Amino acid sequence: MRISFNVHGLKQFLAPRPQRYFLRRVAVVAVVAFLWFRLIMVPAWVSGASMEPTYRDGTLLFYLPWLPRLRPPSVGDVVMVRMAGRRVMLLKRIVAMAGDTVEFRGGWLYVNGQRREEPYVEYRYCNWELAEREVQPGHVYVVGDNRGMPMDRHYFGRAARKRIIGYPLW
Amino acid sequence: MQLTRKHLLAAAIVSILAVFFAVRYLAVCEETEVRRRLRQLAGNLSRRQADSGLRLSLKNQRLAALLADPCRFVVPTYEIDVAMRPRQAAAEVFRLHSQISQVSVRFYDVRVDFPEPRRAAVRTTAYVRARNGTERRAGAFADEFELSIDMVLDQRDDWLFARFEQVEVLQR
Repeated sequence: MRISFNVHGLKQFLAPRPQRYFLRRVAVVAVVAFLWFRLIMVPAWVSGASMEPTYRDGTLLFYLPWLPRLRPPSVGDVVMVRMAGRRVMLLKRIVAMAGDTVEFRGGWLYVNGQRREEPYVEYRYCNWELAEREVQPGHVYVVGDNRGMPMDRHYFGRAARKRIIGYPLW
Repeated sequence: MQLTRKHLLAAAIVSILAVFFAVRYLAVCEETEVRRRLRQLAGNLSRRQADSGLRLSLKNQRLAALLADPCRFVVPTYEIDVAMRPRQAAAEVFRLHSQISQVSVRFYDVRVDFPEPRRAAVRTTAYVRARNGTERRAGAFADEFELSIDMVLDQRDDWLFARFEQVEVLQR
């Protein structure tokens, strides 16, 4: 078997002579990629351990910013919560909707007085205690999956629904 | 040389770009000044491991010079609402810097409004990373968190930070 290596072809592929159509194609690809990754499927890095083991620190994910307009958030959804803008967001899971009551007893989550089974929670070495409280209208209650970290260091609570700006793709 | 439509188009694009960059980078408008103060604040709140005591002391003085007298700090999560003098607030930061070996503060999603003359309202997300000691040492820790903050700056001789308020994105 003979493998021929066409240097000219490789050069043409990697650094083709700039022609009008080539530049036009590059411009179109650049614009489409920009719009796609800006509006359709936005990349984001996970920083922090509050969603482990579902999302590990340093994971790259893509979120869909248009989906909350089509599908309202529901219990069990992982959502991106906006802070001052869209460059730094919180990644949390919805555990209760408006009108529900939420409490933590001995590390277990209780919604409307019923203990909630949470298959996504693996780190259960915790003793979170939080008195019962109601989720206000227009809000959802979000918590991270990592219950192995101290409650004081875990940022969770009621979030306004309008702050939910996307769902991760996976 | 004859000017064709292509030449005119190229000249128009270059002119637009030149005007854009001139406005963006050269014009010293109020918003640029406010953003500059924000960068100075982040720089003086951060500390590198290699920072000497002298450098920290210098940062401390610069930090005090960025704050109005008095400066108000509101943290609803911990029910804190205090007014401090600039030196007092800078001393608190200095105390923190002397306990932690590395602190990095960065501001993202900065939005600047001017609700009234000589006053700026800033909404931003602060991203803080802190590290103390090395992994080998006992008691070493690393932490990172993000805060949504509203700030108010008043224009006196220069723009000074008069108020910091934490915005509760999640309320327990």
